Amino acid sequence: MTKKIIFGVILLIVFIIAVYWYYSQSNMPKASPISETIRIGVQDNIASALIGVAGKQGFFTKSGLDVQIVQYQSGKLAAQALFDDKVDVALVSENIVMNNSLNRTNFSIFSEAAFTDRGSWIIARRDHGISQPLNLKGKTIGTQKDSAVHFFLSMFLLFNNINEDEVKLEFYQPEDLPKAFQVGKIDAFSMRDPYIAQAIKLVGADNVVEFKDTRIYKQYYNLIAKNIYILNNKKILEKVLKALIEAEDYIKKYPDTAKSQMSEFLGGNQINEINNTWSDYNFMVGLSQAQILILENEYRWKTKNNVVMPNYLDFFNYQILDKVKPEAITIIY
Amino acid sequence: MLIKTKIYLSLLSAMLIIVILGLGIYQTISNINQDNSIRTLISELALKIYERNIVAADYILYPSERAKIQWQIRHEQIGEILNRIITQNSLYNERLAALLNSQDKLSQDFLSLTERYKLQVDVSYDEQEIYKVFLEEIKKGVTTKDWPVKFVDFLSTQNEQILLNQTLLGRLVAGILVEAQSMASNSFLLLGDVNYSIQRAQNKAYVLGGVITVLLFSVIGMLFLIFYRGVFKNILKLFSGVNKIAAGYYGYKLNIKRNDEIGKLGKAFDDMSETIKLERKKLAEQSKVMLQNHLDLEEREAAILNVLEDVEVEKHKSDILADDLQKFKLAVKKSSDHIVITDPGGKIIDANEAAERITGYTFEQMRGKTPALWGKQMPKEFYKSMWHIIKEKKQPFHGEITNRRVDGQTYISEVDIIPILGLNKQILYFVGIERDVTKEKNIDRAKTEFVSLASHQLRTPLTAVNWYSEMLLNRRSGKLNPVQEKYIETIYDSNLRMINLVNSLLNVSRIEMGTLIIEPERTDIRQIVNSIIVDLGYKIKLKQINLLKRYDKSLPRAVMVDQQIVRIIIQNLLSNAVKYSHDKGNVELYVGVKKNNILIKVVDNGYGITKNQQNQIFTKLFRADNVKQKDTDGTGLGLYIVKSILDEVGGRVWFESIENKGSTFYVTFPKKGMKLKEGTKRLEEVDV
Repeated sequence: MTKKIIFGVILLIVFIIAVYWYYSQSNMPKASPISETIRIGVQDNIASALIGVAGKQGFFTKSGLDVQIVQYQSGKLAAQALFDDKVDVALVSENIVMNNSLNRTNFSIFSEAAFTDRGSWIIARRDHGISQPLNLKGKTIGTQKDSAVHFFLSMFLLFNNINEDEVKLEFYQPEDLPKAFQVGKIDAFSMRDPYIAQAIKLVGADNVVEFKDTRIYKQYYNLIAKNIYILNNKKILEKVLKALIEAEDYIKKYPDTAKSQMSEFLGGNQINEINNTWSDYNFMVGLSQAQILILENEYRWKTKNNVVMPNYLDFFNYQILDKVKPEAITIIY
Repeated sequence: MLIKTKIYLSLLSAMLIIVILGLGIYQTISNINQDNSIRTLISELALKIYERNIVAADYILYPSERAKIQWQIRHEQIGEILNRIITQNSLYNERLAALLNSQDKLSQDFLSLTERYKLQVDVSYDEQEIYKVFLEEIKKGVTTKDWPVKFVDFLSTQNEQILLNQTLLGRLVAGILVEAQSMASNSFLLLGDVNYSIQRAQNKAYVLGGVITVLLFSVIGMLFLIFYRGVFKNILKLFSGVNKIAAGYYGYKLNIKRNDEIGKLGKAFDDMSETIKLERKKLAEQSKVMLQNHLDLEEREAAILNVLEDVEVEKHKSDILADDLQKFKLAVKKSSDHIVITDPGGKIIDANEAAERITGYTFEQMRGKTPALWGKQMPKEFYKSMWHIIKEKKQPFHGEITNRRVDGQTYISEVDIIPILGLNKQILYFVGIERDVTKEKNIDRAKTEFVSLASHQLRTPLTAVNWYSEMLLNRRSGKLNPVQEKYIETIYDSNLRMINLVNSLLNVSRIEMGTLIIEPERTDIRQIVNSIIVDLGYKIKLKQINLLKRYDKSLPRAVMVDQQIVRIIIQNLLSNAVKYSHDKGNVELYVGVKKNNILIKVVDNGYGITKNQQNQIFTKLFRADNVKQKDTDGTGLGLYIVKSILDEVGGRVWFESIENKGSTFYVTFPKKGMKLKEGTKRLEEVDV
């Protein structure tokens, strides 16, 4: 009898170990053989965190992908690279999508990678008599033409009952704005970091006032690709999204590590800037109904309602994400 | 009722309860599941209504193609869900009817809205086109008077249309929003209804479950009671009964009076107990028998063990015997006496070295032959007598035998032939031991002849001395003075003793030399006895011996015996009895007949003979130490002569004696008398 009990206990232990081993094996990520290559163009800012962390953690490799990540100074350049076939996928803001939707329809958004409602704000000079938004009337405000920050400026003025005719708009390249702000060519400008930070350094923090409003503009960062590429490479794009979903989970669990990895990804020691802005962004994979409205609003703003607006539903391809994470799709389709 | 039946009934009841209530629960759970599925649909419906409302607001604000498409998508999906809900259940008809109603209305209103929006766009477009045409004409300078009026009329008409459109739009929008809101509310209310229904069903399920539980507990309780009362208690009783029987109370009865299985078990137990009691009794009896058998076996075992021990001992003895045998064989082999072993027929089977040496024959010459090989020197009667003794009587034979060696020389042997008998007294073999006594015989003969000669020679002077002493004592030669008389008496007495000794020696020599004459004649033994008593009168009177003589009635008046021999025999015995008795002792003489022999018995209560010297009493010149101390007289030849005589005449002498208590001597000789023996001399008389 004792022997039977001992034998039974041993069997049970062996069984438990076998089950545990099996499940640990099945849960361990299996490295698939690398067989597919994809080039992703990203902006060299924090919005590309999912791609950067996925690359650093080897999630692309685990999915069997050989991902070449190309960094560009702006989303516009990344989009251009896509349309020039220098990259297969580009990470761009919805503003870039809207701008390109004016003259092309051969691309689609297959997933969002991040959004923020604090990406753009206005900085103004106190010493120019600006202490509140209404003080912007009659002032010269700089921004980048037809960009997201330009849109934010328009919405900010509208929300603050300032007619655009009541301000003088001047358009600059983003890197020129801090200098223009410093020398007084402009009293204020609408931009994002790091340019605002540069301006503050130049002018001095005591001499500036910042106007932020999270209600008026939610900026989305999207993964776009040509429709023909999406049609022929659904599996690759699914693997890309799976890797980004892993990166999304990783960022939630290990934010500090992710920040360090982004600092490395972006090159240079940008950990302080990353720490300052990390919480302004939401890094997630999805397709939101809200972005359609924003695209349409931007379109109306851009075209002054003079052009028949495209159906932005046609610029969303939810088939890829539907296979990978359907619950992340809130677009009505 | 049998317990089994009760249990079955209980279980059946429990099963019925479970089935009936189970069906109820199943039905309830089915309803719950159905409601859950409807709830899921309604949740989905509510969500889609919500999303459609969002898109509706979006479209109302900005009537984009996208918003219209999305609204239509959701609207269709809502219609499908409603149909599925209606298909899956027949409850909530009112709410569902309201939802369907709203759905239809919204379909129509949204269509109208889109048409109105299109119309508005068309009107605007028309306005713009007309306005362009107007501007062109103005540029061209081609205008008519009534153009502005027409244009204003047109505009006015357009404006009216626009206004109307806008009013209608407003109403439509309001209607849509209301219906959308209504649908949203109804969907949530429907959800509430379903939740309520589910809750009720769950409650019902709980109640049913509770009822089942209670009923099951009741059944369990009942089963427990059945078991407890019917089974458990009685099992305890049974257990107690078993313990009683184990403790030895055989025949113990449970007396369970039930009509079910327990009752049967109880009865079976009682029967078993009774059987055990009876069997136990039988067993006890059998055990006794077995115990006895066991004891017997033990005894046998002990006996066997003893036997085995004895066997062991015997074996040991055998070993010793074997060893002794070996020693004996060697001793026999090396013995100086002639030893021969024959079979019952007298044929030699073994002989020692002395036999070879004495007879001169080798063992090989002897083997298979009889000792007659060196015998046949004695009279036939001797051999006949010898064979009779050893073969018929199966007794040892002792005697002297003359044999002849191989070289023809004769020799005298003292022979002992002993028959060796088996368990059944059968003769196994004879052992003959001879000792060449020729030399001793010759020496003895020489001695005897010397003694005879010397005695004979001595008799003459002794007789003369005796005669002259008597003469002097009888004062034939004159009176003697007392001293002289005393000296002569002493000489006389001493001479008498010498004469007696010489006579005794002569008797001994005559017996040993075989020259003794035996002349039987008709003799009255009584007379001899009387004569001897007279002779002994002085000594009897002197010691005040109380002499008693008895004669058996069957004693013949005359017996054919040699008187001298009988006299000497009785004289020796009687004089010894008187001599060796205390003063005032008792001596009894009995003469009678015993079987075919004359029996003479002399009893005294005198000194007796010491035990360790009794075996020498009949040897020549022997006198026991205890009598030698008391009486220095005595030759030591008397009993030797008595025995020798009796050996000659076929009689016997033996005695019984206890030191200081007395002795009893027995003499027998054949009643038919003694045989005549030729010789040269008769026995001499010896004075007592």
